[in-house]
Amino acid sequence: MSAPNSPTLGLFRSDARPGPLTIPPPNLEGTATATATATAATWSDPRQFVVGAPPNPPSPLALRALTSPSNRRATLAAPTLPLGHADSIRKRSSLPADIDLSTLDYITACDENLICPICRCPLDKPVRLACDHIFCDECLNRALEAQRNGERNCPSCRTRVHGWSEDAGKQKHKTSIPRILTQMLDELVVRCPNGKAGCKWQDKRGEVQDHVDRYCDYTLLACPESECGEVVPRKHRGKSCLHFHTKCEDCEQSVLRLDLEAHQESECPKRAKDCSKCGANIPVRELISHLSSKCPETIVSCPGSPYGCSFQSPHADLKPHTKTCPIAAMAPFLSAQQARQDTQEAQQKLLQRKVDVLEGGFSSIQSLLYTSDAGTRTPTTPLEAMSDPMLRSGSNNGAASASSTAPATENPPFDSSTEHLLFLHDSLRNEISRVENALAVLDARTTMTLLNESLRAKEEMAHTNAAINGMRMQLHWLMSARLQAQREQSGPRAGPSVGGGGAGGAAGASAPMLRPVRRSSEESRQKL
Amino acid sequence: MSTDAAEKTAPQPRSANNGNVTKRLQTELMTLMMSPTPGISAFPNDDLLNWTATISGPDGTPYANLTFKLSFEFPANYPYAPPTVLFKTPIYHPNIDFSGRICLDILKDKWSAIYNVQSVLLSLQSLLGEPNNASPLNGQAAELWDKDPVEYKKLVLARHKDLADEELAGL
Repeated sequence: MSAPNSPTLGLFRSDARPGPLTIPPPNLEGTATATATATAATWSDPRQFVVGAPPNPPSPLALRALTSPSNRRATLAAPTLPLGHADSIRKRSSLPADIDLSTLDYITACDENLICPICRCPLDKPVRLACDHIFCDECLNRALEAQRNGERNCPSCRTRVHGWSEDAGKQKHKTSIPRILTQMLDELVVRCPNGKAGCKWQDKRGEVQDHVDRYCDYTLLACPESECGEVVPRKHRGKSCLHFHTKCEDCEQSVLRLDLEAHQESECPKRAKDCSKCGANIPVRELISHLSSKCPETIVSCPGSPYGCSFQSPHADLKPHTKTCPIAAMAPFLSAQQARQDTQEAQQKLLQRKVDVLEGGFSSIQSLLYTSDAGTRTPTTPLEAMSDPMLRSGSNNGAASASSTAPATENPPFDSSTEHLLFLHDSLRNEISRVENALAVLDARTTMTLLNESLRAKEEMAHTNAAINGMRMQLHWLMSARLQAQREQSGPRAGPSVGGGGAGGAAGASAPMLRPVRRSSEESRQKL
Repeated sequence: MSTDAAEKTAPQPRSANNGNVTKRLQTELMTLMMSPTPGISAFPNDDLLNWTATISGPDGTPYANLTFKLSFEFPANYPYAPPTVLFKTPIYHPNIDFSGRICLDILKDKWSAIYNVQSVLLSLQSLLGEPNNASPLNGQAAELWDKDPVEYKKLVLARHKDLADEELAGL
């Protein structure tokens, strides 16, 4: 009970409910020195801690609670009460269980080092592993429980965790937390968890449990009538049981007595209240909307305020201003323009996206073209082949001009791939015409050489013809001379029938008599 | 850390852990929004338990200048169990199959409760540049990774291009 809240890991265990007192008492140092030897093992057994330690003086908060006449339960929660007593109070008054600190609304920014890496909230009942990593007790238990294959490893560094057990009472894996850490955590400012119900309280986290358990007007407690079984906020607990239906005196509606005040304050359709600003009598239901817009005393700004008019005045004075204010007159037009601009911007975004996608596709095509072109381009592009000698000759004259144009031809700066394609097309056409010319020239040349060659051959043939003719003439002359001589010899001796026998023997005998001249010419040829 | 969006609920019994899941996911979302990491982004869909995330391919890898869409599905006991993460953009990678399933130990048995959306996305981003070719889902990719980087890159681009076509068709 009176133990400081720092050894939370033992005290906040589920089997030993903590006392409502969570603020560090002033004798913290004394306790620390007195129980310097009280390590984790001691903390795991709070009873031993309470028995072994000297009785601590009550904290100022407890003293305040003790002297407060309004809280009759405070006397029960005296600092030296045994631990179990808090439980019985809790049961009787149906106090909420431990506040889940991770659901609290933190006002101060928490240092990143004080945040549990598992739940990403400021540490709640921090525990430390042998590897020096710190987690919320519950987060660590659940993380270890969820690990498969029976392995229990530190969630941060995977170091083996020894001594963990599903039974909180048998856990031996935790080591002590530096006290400064728990103090820093308890000093974080939080809002009351009953904030939704209307509690405005905000203070150190270490005190929130105490606040909810003892002071918060909005904590739900059991109805003082023991048979009732309903719950009631603490502020109504002083009265007798309010769980009965009653009639609202204004609207005659049947309302739970407990909710009557709230009903009359904001719901009752008949009840009216004077507006705090203009004094008009307004039904309570419409009071809020009246205050925000209709009340003539409410300060409102000119309708042209989004477009630059800074005029502000009570509702009633706004009309004369809007009549003269040029911006207010323009406001409807401007807002229409604004709306149109917004839709156009949205459309433009869509189009931009479309263009992006198309451009992406286009650039991929382009890159495809360039890569396939790079290997073959240098030898085939005639423009370059033609410009190269020109450049070379130019470089003799002016090196500067050559160097400035050379890179340009190496990597033509095409704006788009269409231009590139057109260029390719042009160069191909040039090349084809060049090939055509060369072909024509070649054709002419071959015809000429052919003609020359054949002429010479013809001449030679004519020469040989002439020579042959000459020889034939000679032969003729010789043969005729010889035939004449033969005829003159054989004419007197024998008839013309034996002429062949005289010339060739047996052959001449069988040969016909009709071709003597021809035979002799054959013979003479054989002789030749 | 101040959590403005935190619900101001009355103390709840510990067993109601669904609140813890949304609370933790809200915190993660806030961190991602407040201090965005270049190259990764994530945002919940209609429901806080389903997120869509994007990662951009790391420079110096075949995935440079490409963006990949992923889906996250968180179990009710997150962060004690890993989220289900899938690649929605078709991707050519040794450890990712053609339906987008990922083979990564920290999304399976090596999951730890301290991991979050951001750390998972960063791990996936580094997985793109350093695949685990020892246990591939896509054997061809694992083989090509070392053998033929040029062909590999071509296949990556071809696989990724499907999305560009889809987007074009969708517009």
